[in-house]
Amino acid sequence: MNTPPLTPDQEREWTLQERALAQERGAEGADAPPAYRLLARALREPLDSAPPAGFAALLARRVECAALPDLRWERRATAALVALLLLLAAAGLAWQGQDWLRQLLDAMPSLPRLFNGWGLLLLAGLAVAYWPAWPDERLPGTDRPRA
Amino acid sequence: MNPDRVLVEAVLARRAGAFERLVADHQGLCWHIIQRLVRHPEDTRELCQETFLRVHQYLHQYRYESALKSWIGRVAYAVALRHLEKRRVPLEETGRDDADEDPLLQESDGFDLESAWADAQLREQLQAAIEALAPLPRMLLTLYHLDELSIPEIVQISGLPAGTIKSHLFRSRLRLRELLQTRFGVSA
Repeated sequence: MNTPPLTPDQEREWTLQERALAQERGAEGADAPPAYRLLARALREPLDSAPPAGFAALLARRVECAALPDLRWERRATAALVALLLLLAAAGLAWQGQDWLRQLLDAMPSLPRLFNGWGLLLLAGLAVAYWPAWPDERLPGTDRPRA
Repeated sequence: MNPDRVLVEAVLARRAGAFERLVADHQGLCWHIIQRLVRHPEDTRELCQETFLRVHQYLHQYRYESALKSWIGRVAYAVALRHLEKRRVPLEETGRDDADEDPLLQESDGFDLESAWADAQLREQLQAAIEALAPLPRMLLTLYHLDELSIPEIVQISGLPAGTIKSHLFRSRLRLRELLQTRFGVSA
């Protein structure tokens, strides 16, 4: 949406527009064109509508009524717990995983067939479908809220 | 301490009255942004409410990188923009290049500013001409003239390049001045 810069003539016109605005704000100086001063005055007129009386109080009450308990700390604690459990599971697997896998394969001789292409695809599909949504809704790298 | 930080921390700590004060402090700007873009009074009220509910929901993400009013203004702008997109309302006029068409003022002669301003019909027609502008230039003019925001502040709210904002302001004012000359018989 970039636009080309103003030409020198347009810059001069811009200066007249700005001078009219400054004069309408009370600045001293050379007289600006009356047409632009009239415009600047009209553009400083309040709009014909405004927030209704008590708008802020109404919204505050609405927010209070709808407020859910602040779960941010609970979410962080849960995440830490899950990370700890994953770490312990990884350690357990590293320690005894080979034995467990061997025992599992011995107990279920048909299991290796599950690991052919279709079985993996099915598992991947189920994982994607049922994976919980990420709790953090922050937009990365900005302080802009999602709109 | 930065007053924005004091207010934001009070809202996040759920202190009584803090969120109400945040709304009261910024509802004017929010209203101007949305009203100038969508114009419909009921839609403006609903979108303004939606804006502040979003502000409340995402305030913990505010990082003080811009003034709080710019951050809230950006939410209002995004909410209104999405509303216009849903209704396929164009933000600006296309197919007209004012710079090629409009003669520049260059010099000005005198007409009586105060008597022109006292003409209620002329003022009414001028307001109607402002209302008839496309949503984006209408909003930019209001933020610049009525809210007295600087171009860098409007950049933070709209995300538009400064040159684009300046160009919109310039062309809209030129067009309105042209309207004053041709339609209302006001000599520039």
